[in-house]
Amino acid sequence: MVGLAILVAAVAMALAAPLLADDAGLRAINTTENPAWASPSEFGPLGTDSLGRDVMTQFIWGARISLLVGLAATLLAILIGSIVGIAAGFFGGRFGGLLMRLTEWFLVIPFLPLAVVLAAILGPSVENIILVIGITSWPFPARLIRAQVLTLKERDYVDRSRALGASNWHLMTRHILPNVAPLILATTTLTVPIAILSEATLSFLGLGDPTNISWGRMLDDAFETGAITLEAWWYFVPPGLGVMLVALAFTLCGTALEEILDPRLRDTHG
Amino acid sequence: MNAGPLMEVRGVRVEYAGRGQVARAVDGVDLELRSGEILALVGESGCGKTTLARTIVGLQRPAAGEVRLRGKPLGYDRRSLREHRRAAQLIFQDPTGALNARHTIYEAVAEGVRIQELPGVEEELVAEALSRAGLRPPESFFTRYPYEISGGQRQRVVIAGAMVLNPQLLVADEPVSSLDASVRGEILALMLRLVRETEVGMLVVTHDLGLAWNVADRVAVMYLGRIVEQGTTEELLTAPRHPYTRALLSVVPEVAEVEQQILSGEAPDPTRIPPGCRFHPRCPLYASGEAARLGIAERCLGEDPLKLPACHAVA
Amino acid sequence: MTAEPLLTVRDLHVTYPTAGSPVPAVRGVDLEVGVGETLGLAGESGCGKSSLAGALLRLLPRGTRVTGEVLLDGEDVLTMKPGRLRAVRWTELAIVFQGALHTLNPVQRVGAQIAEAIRLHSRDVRGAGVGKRVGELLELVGLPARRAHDYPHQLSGGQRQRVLIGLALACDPRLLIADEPTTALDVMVQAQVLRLLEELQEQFGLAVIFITHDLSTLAAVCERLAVMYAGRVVEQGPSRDIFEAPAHPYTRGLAAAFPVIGDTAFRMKPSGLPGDPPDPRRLPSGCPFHPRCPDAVAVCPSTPVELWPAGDRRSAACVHVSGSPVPA
Repeated sequence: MVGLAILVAAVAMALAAPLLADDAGLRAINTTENPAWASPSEFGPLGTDSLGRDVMTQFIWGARISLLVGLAATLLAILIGSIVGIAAGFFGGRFGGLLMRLTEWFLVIPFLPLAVVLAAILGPSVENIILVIGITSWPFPARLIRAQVLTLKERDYVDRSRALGASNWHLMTRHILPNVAPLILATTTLTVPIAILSEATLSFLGLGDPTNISWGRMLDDAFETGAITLEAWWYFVPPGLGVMLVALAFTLCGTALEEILDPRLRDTHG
Repeated sequence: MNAGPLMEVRGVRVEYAGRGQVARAVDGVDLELRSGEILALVGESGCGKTTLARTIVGLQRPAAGEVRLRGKPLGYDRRSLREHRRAAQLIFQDPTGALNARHTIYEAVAEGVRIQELPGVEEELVAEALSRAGLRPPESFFTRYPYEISGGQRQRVVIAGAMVLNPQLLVADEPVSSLDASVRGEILALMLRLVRETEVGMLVVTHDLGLAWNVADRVAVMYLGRIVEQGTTEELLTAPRHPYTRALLSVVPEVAEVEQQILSGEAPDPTRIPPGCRFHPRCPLYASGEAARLGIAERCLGEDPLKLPACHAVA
Repeated sequence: MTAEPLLTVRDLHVTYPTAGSPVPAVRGVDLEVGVGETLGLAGESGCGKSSLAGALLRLLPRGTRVTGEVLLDGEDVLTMKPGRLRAVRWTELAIVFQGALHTLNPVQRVGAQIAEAIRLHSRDVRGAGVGKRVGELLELVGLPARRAHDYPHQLSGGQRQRVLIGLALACDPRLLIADEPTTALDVMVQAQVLRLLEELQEQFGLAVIFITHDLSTLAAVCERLAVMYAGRVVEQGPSRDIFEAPAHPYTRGLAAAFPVIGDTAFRMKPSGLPGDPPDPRRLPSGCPFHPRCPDAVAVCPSTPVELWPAGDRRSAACVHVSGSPVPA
């Protein structure tokens, strides 16, 4: 419940950004009058950065990209990973082997070079970042999911369903998928913060969309402009906390969802 | 009741490939079952009885031989398999594993109805099946989950799920061995009643000879992939002819008067089936020299006894 | 029996603390085992037999409340100091569990596991002597000594059970508690293990408490037996007598689950008890068996039952046995 509350707050903040803070404040040219490196007590709720931009504004607007990329890239990765994982695990044999070779190929390729190449080909934009992160992240969940599917398909209830005459599709959707769902959910919550930080890395390398601000970008800007040496905590602590709280929120929600989905766990809190 | 047998197994062989060797789990089996009859397939672990049971319901494909239902051989294309599944159902050993923990009891029983697209009102069919399996009132079980009911009740749900299809053949693989002892009788009584009422033919796979005595009309004893002796329950269990059957019966705790023939070691695994009579390395007749005295020792070593009972001493 | 019993259990209670109210697994059990004697303990899931076994060796999880007395040669195991308990465990009292794959450490060779038990509990055997003793123990239970190098998964169920017996005998105990030792085994392997136990008993004068739900095995193997239900003993006496003519309705129901081959009374007449063994957290009032009892009468839910005499050296906790008149 706490997790849900945090998430709702974060999403609400991101969506309501235009209402909460004027995005003009993001553009450095508009902020030349603002004192640079002002602490929260001197200017605004979160002070300003090296260019005098209001940190609070950045924080609110940054939430949008961070959450968007985090969620979208994760969903893409999980979608691909689940389909590959379930298919490879369920069918096994040569088809499954082929899928796993493909998965391993993607796993082995280092993230950064691949991301750089893809971004260079596709061009820097938010959509492309989502694509890049999604494509490089799916192998990890795919392997986990396949491993569990391998054990699940040996269960008696799968056999019983087959004995009743079920088709493969029925077995995969009615029996395998519901039982692998908790793992998928858990992997999702693990992947979101990774996606958010991946986005930051890409933005740092100039592969991201330079016109948009995100929490990851704020962290890197803070690092680049020496906020740590200057002890301008108001610049790097908020985005860091933001990422942390969102990750925590996802985990809490994931656990709660798992409880709802698994009837056996309901009793323990009853 | 039809003239011919309900189910026939002819020369069935089922093989597994394992580490370069071929395991002949079922090595040439002939079996028959009539409607309204209960046949107990008895043997120890590794003898191939579960593999044979799964082959009969179509979950396993034989390397040779065929399974026939009402004279019609079982085909392995999708359509034939689906039809066969309508007619032949399997009851599992562990009812907890056989039920998907995320599905309600209703869904568990309705699954068969939906897959086979049975005519009629789904809710009525489910209620009737649950009721016949002794779960009354059936509606009170609809929204419950397997973890909320006892082991015996779970097995009743599995039975209901199989019976809802109105099968002609029921194969029960160790149907009560994972249940508490005092609960077993009720489930067995249910199965017996279903057979009497619906004329379904039932094959019960078990290692428990007492169970066979309790509910079976006929018994077939399996050893290392072969049936070594078959007959009516009374005959086979009170006057067994094959040395393996005799040894098995002698060690059953309930039979106190007979001297125990405890066989040494365990059955070899199916990748190394002994030549000649597959039982000869552990056979008390062979080991004690009785076989030599009867003049059949060479045959035990070199000749595979094919006629039942599969023993050269009984000819 | 005139000699002092080897083990005397008096008014044993085992209660598990839980998030809710505490769960009484054993609710007052008295038992006696003489030197070299075999006592059977029969019961199904939830009856408390495994909790009882654990309590005798104080192997239950911390926080479990155990009250009563467990007198081993007059000394109470429950109040022993940890040092003395360690000395007694395995050297006087040992336990054999069901030989499932997870009872033995799957990543340790079986020889090493036996050696560990020897080193933990025996002062005298050290160094090369340990390896020799391991070999001796394996041969004692019918396994070639070289099997010490095998991992548990390389052994069959019957062989693992033998290893567990060897493990239990490592320090020459006087009493062996066998908790469902043959339940998962085939009938032939079971016979082998039972014969082994019999031989070992003769050879070493071992006393055995044999715990299982299989009443027929107990009748064949034990001299006396006690039937447990809902944490209490509901019948006890000579095993053969009890199996052939049970006095308690539960025992009757349990015995019916083991048909006697050759006896036509069991042909086509499967009979069991309705309902299920009770949840220790929600025990019925009065006699805990009354909801399932075919002989229940009006007073059963309100009568606190105790073990009343029911024949020669027998007793049963049933109002029909109590001797007092029972209204129909």
